[in-house]
Order: sequence, then structure tokens, then C-alpha cells
Amino acid sequence: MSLGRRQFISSLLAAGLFPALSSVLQASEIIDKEAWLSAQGKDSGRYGLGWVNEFGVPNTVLSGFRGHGVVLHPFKQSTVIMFARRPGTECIEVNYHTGMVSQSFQCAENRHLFGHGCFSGDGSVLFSVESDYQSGAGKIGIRDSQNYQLLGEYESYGVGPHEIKMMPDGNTLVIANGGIQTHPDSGRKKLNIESMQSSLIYLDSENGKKIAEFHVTESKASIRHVDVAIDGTVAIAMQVQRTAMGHDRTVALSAIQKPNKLIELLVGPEPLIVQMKDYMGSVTINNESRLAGFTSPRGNVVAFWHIDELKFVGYHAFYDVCGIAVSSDQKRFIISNSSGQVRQLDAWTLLEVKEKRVTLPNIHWDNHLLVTG
Amino acid sequence: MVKRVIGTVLVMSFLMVGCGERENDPVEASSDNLSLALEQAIEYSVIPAVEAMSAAAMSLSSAANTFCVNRNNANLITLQTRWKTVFVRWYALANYNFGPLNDDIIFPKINVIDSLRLRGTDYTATVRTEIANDLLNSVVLDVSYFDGKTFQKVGLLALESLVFETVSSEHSKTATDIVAEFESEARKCEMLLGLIAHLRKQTDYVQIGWLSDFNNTGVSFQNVFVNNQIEGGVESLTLLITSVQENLDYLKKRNVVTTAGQISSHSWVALAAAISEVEILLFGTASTTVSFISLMEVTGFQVAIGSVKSNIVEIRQSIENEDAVMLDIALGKLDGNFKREIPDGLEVELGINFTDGD
Repeated sequence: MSLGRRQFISSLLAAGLFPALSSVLQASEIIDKEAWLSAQGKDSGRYGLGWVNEFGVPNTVLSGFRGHGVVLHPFKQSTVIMFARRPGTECIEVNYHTGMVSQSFQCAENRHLFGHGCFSGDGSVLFSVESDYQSGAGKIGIRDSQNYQLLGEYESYGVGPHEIKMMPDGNTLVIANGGIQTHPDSGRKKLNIESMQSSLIYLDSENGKKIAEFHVTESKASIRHVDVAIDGTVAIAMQVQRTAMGHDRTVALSAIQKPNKLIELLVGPEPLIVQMKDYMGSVTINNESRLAGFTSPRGNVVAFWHIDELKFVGYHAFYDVCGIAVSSDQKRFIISNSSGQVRQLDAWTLLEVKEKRVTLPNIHWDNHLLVTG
Repeated sequence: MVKRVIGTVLVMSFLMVGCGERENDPVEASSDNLSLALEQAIEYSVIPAVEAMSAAAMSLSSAANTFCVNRNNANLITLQTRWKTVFVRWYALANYNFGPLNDDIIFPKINVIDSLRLRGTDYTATVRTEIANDLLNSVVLDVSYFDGKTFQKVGLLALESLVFETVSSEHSKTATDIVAEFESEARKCEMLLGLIAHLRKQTDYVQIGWLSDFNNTGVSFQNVFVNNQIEGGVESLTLLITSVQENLDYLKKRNVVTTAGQISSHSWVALAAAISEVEILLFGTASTTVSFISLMEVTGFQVAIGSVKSNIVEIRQSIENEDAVMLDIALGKLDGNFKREIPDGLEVELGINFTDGD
């Protein structure tokens, strides 16, 4: 016997309400000719990539693993790569027009992924953040962007590299070393919390040489996610390992690094920072409004700071929000949550464009959202 | 004395639960009944908690007026008793930290009423200093003055210090000393009345929001909640379950029996009220026809229900014994019930688990 809610939701899919939803999306121009993509799913049997394409058609493809970050392929049309979250070892290439998994690949032996990657400036190479789980050293996997053959690897110059982005010069990689060591044998257990040291590393993508290394004062603040503005400003989202800290003081969860400057922590209203429960899940920069949005699913909120003035400018309360991206015209922030909801906020006023609200039944958007188009 | 009061609170709560739905009432597992259970939980648990808090604050105000006209030991004792009632009512209401109580992330009412809530910081020294300064300076103690104070300097803790101890360095708790100080320091009564008015502004806001006008929308939050139209995109039932779970986590994590209500020595009674409220929410009242527990029962969650019941008994025993160590353990177990067994039993979607970091 059941209360019938889950069955009801599942039945929406069976009843073909996705096509109906698709017409709604098209008619109201909710998606503005752009595609939204994200890892999705709540349980192992349903993990996959979910998306709504430029024509407003929602779809999913099963992956067999829980995905995390998604990047757009620079050359292959309507094609993305989804990386497994730690300590997964698999990536899939998906064409979201055909709905097919076109390729997949695994890490090398003794390596696992952290869920993120990026392409080189010329698009010929895919970089992925990985761990040598025997030594604990962070690695950057280097693969041919056509067939994903492993070409080599670089050091990440830290432990637990989590996100990697290409800087505007098309050559320098910025790497968020979260500082936390994991091993597939112990699942997601954090093995070095007492000694963890997070870092932000700049790397020459041509030869793997370290260009610069930065830290934040709080050693238990794990630098996890980054985004890069067109002028090279880096926005940093962190997760604090509170259980390993000797105090209960509020710690900044976000920071900005301007080119050739030190990392500057972002200050926000204390109740807001407390509500975030030491956890930011994703960050994105809007190059037009110069605002950076940081999501906190634990706090059910997305908060915004101006990346030049370093001032807190506002927030939007949204249950279990984690995915955030900028619309292709840079006019809106697009945010997603685990209930399949998507909302859009004006990139300057941060007011929600309520007529663009949408909920996709039976979809559970995971950490990150990619908008293309 | 404290134990006797706790015993009374617990017995009353048991009676209320015992008078709830009859065992043979047929309850059918359906979405409609789940909605009905939610509706009744709001009507018979949340709204009464909101109204009780508001009424207690009004009663405190009345006692303060009486005391300030006639400052004697008897009137002080009445004033202290009324503060204790507000404190107890508050611990019941604080289970429902959403809607009007928390409609502004940066300035939520919950922190203004109870400064400990933000991150467990004990601001006793801050309020003592603030009261001493306000006695010495000549600033006009009007509404705008109290409105301008930060959350650490107002609310239940500031009132507790004013009502249960002297300002002098010894912070005497003797009634005669406290009354004597109110007699000699005329501004103390102005502060008392000003702080109570400020507290009532918060409780009135919460009550009006729940019953008639939430956030200047002209619609009650009760209406918003029952119709599942919460602005943050969360389902009402999820919000309710999560809120109670987070309150249990707070009670445990912040070890409130050793950090809250310390001047008045009333923390154990308040904690008992918080747990009784949880029980009423789950099991219903005499007016309830469909409770959350009755729905879990017909959907085969007897083991889960047994776990909830036994954890509540454990909490009660640790309160009776004033055993903070056992209380910590038992609260953790009930907290776990709200994370697993109860959401499972009610098919509540708690969202994707981001808690282990990624």
C-alpha cells in the first residue's frame, strides 16, 4: 500500500506529459532557444544526463553512474561530456539532439574522477581532474578530444582536484584542489581531514608547469568550484569541513581572485552564511552584470556578490538549489534544483522572471547546470 | 520544583496525545488523507503554538505593566512566571521555523526572539552590558530605540536578564534585590516595557502572518502552506518535516539545556515543551481525525513508529533525570527518525543528498 505520490509523479511520464510540457516550453519561450543540461537522478537505477533542448523538448539518457559536471564539446555539434562524481571512473559523451551516448571512457588504472573537466584553448584536448588513489596525489588527465585516448597527465599540485577551468588566455588552467583525499575502497570517506590543505593552482596547459599557487587562511575550507570571467577574475566557492575545526565561528564560503592579486574572501550577512551550513555547491559569473552567483543546496539559497566591488548584492531562496548557469544572452541567471525545477533571475536586479518558471516531472537536477545555445 | 513542572508538562502532553484519534478509526492511505493530515497538523498543532506564543507575550506585557505600577516581590514572581511561560511556548513554536518566523534570511524573526538560534553563541554578557549601559545613559527608550538594536541585544535573553537578575556586578537573583533595583532605577521599567513591546512586535508579526497576511500579500501563510504554494519551491510537508528535524538537531548540537534559560533555570522545562510539541504534531490532538502516524501505521511502518515512540520515551526519561548526556543521544535518535523513517513513511522527498560534499 502506498500514499500514491511517487506513483502519481511517475505516471506523468507514462501519460506522455513530457511532450505536453515541451509545447508549453516552446509556446512561452521559456528556454529562449537554449539548451539546459545537467546530471540528474536520485537513485542508482535512474542516474543519467537530463536536458531540455533548444526546441523545448525534455529528455534523459541513463548513464549507470551518478554524474556531476557537464561540458560542451567545442567541435562536435550538440555534444557534451558528463563526468562521474568522485570516486567514479567513467565519462560519457552524449549528443543531446539524437539522445544517444556516442562514446564513453574510463580512467586509467588507479585513478578516479572528481566530476569535472574542461577543453584546451584549441579544443584538441580534454582535461579531467583525477586522483592517483594509491599515492593520493591529484592528477590532470589529458585526452584526445575526438576519441578520448589518454595522452598523458599532469600533476594538480595538490590533493583532491575538484574543478578545472581554462583561463581567457586559452593556455592557463585554474585548478581547485579541494585538499581532501578519497579512495574507491572507502567510497566517499574523507581520509585526510586533519591534514587537508586546499589550494588554487594555475598551470601551463602546454607543459603542466605550475605558474602560481594560492591558499585561503582557513585550512579546513575546501576550494571546490571556480568560474572565470572574461577578464580573468576567478570566483571561488568553498565547502568547510566543520567537524575538523576547533571552533564554531562563521567562515567565508566564497572568494574572488583578480588577475595577479591575492584571493579575497567575500563577506556576507552572517545569518545567510550560517544558513548555508558550510556548503556552497556551484558558482557562475555573469560577464555583463559582473555578478557571481553561488548556490547552497543545504541552505536552500543562491547568493550573489559583485566581482569587482566584492559586495554582497542579494539572494534568492530556492529549495535544494545547486545548478546555476548564465543564459546564452547573459541577461539571466538560470538555477535548478533536485525537484526538477528551473527558475530564471534577471542578471542585474536578481528579480525572478516568474513566467519562466518550469518544473520537469521525475527529473532531479544534480549539482551543476550547463546552458548552451 | 523544576522536575514537578516538567512532569506536569509531560503528563499534559500525554493526555493530549491520548485523546487524539481513536484506535479503531479507519484511516485510508491516500494522497487526500496525507493532505488532510497536513492541514490538521497546521490547524491543531502549528496555529495553536503560534497563538499560545502570542498570548503568552501579551500576558507578559500585562504582568510587566502591573509590576511597574506596583513594584513588589509578588508582582515580580508573577512577571517571572509569565516570562517562563513565554519561554516554554517559544520552544514549542520554534519547531516551526518557516513562514513568518523565517521569511527573511538576513533578518529572520527567530533570531530576534532567540539570539542563541543563529549559531549557538551565548550573548548573556552582551545583554548584561547593554542593560547596564542603557541604565547609565540618557537616550530616550522609545520604540525606534529598541527597533534599532541588533538581535543579540533584544528578545528573550535580554528580558530574562532584566527579570531574573540585577544589573549590579553580582547579578543577584534574589527577588528583593531585583525589586529594589527596579525601584531605584526608573529606566529599568522603561527598558522592560520597551523590550516586551519589541518582543510582541515579533510575535504579532508571526501570528498575523500565519492567520491573515503573510509578507504583505493579503493571504495567510496557513493558506499558502495548505495549498502547497510556498515561494521557495519546496513542498509544504517537506518543509514541515525538515524544520522539525533541524530544530531537533539544534537542540542537540547547541546543548540548549546548558546554554539556554540559564539565568531562570528553566531550560529543561522548555525542552520538554519542544518534545511534547513534536509528539502532538506526529500523533495529533483530540480534534485530529488523520495524523501522520496513523498514515504511517496503515502503510506498514509499524517498526518506524515504534522507533519514534521509544525515542520520545528516552528523551522524556533523560529530561526527568536532567541527564544531558542521555538527552544528547536520544535527541540524535529522534533527529534520525525525521531524516529517515518519517520521510520514508510519508513519502516525503528530501532532495538529493549533497551532505557529503561535492
